[in-house]
Amino acid sequence: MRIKVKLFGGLKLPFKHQENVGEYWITLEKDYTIENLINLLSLSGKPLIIVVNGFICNDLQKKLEDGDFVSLFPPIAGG
Amino acid sequence: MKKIIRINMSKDVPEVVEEAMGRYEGLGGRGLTSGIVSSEVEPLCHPLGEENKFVIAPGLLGGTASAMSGRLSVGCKSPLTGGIKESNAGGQPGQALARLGIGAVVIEGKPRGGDLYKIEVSKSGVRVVKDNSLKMLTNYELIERLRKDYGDKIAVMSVGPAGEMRLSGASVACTDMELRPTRHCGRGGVGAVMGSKGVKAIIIDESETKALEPRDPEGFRDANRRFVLGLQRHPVTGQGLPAYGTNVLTNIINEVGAYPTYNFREGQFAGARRISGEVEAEIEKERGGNPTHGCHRGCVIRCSGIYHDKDGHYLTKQPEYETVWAFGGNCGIDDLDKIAMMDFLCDDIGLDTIEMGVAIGVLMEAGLIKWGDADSAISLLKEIRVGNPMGRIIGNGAEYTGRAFGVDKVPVVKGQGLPAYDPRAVQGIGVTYATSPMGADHTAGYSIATNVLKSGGFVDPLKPEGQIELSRSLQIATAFIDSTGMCLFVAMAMMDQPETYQALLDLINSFYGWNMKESDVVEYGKRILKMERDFNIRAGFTSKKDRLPMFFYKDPLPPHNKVFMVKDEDLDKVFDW
Repeated sequence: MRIKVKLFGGLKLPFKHQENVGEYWITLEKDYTIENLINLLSLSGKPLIIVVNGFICNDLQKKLEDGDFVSLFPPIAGG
Repeated sequence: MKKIIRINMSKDVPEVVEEAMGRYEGLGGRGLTSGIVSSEVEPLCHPLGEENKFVIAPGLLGGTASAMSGRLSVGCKSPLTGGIKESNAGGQPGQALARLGIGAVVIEGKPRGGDLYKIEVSKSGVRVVKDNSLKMLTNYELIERLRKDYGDKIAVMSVGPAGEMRLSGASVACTDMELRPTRHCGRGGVGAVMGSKGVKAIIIDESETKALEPRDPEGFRDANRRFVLGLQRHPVTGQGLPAYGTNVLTNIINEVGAYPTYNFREGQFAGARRISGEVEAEIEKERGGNPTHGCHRGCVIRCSGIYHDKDGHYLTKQPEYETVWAFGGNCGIDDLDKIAMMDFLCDDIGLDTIEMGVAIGVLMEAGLIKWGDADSAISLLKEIRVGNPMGRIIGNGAEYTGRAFGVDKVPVVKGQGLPAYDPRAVQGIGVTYATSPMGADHTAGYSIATNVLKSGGFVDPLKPEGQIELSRSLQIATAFIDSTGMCLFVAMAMMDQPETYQALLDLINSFYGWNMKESDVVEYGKRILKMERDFNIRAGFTSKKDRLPMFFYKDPLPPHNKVFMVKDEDLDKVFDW
């Protein structure tokens, strides 16, 4: 399956990718979870805000589906 | 011992009186401005009349050596909302006034003629000087004049042409560390009230002042050390805000579908990434500006910055998230240079960027200019400077603009334009917008922290459950923090780190010799909100004023297609504690 990863707030892909705009389509095996994705991105153990298809995600075991948009942020605030 | 300076502008020669804190002892910042306004101002008065008072107060920790303690509050009856108003800003004047032992300055009455005054505050006292040569100078022009006359060791509060014209969107400018008029008490038309008193500028001599001495110097030093460590350790106050500033929010608020776009029609803006904090910081670095800069001495978070134009010359301070949104997504504009120009114009003319962005969005809604037309938006702001009828309409804010052009979709509560979070996609902030005594104000109970950013837990932003309790506790805590002189961003670390919360209490206790506990913080906050609510009730406000505009209840917001779902009877329980 293919999902779109969007990285913000200084987060970067740990591997080379032809797209270079902070938004990357990547291909994953079936049954991939958010936690698997975070490990793949070398972000495990870091505090993150995770948004999946516009919804804030609190469940690292949530299974990703083909076409999902996953946005990742470090802890941030403002206003 | 702190003192209150009262200046009566009704006298032929303005009269200055010094008095003890008296019944206001123990209050600071918002607590003090709201305390004085609620007990001394006739709630039914005209906000621009002689019965209104313009109150300035540094926070409880203002003037001390504590980090982050430079916020300054101004208070009055608001010409924008018709209710009580407290608006606070960073910059240098808060520390400077407090170091001179001043708890509050209260400007009362109104001059009979059209003369303009400046107020000089120094170690040797307070002088009110007539100076009509300052008339209609912009804030930057004024500061250059004052720099020549007084030198660099001053801190200045001022109004631009908008304040002199008494427009309801007028701000009060406070100078920063570089003596630029970039930090503004923006909301509620406080600049119009200062202007109505005939006061153009308050010039505070910073030379020969030193930090106030705590009762327990050793305890204070230790508490300050723990407080700073806590701020530096927390990822938001230690990393996110310094690196990218408040505009780091653009992407996340857009990603969760809560970024008000095209006057609150949609919750996502296609151009969001182009105007985000990440891009802004890159531009600032490339052009020789600075993405990490404090707004006052003693700030360790440094969420501000310096924005240069394409030629590498100073244009404005780093436009903040709310400003970038107001002129950006709200108006369909995705050009940071144009947005930065509007930020500069608002600082220079003395205007609230949120109110102006919302007003221009309403004008776009009316079809007078096209969505995304940045050049026309810039021209409109320049018309305010000139003071022609169109400029004056916009300068009076979103509600006034909507009425002038027959628009029914006007995002205001109590007459004040909504900030940069759509209440249909973040229901908690809708509760704050609706119920805050200040009108639509995100800072009054910043539910975004818990609804989106996961500070202090998590409450689902798309459901009505839990939002009343969240907004209530945040409004209470904020009323207290706004009284300390602390920047509200310290709350991000305090919500997650109990030891940082304790460090703030220890700072206050060691400075004053108090024994304040967490429960006292809650009582302090409630006392302030009660005074403010009481003023508004006496000014004629009912629970019907504690509501969002109707379209938020009936027009679903894409992409989540939600409406605001918190019930009216629940909104009426926010202050039932």
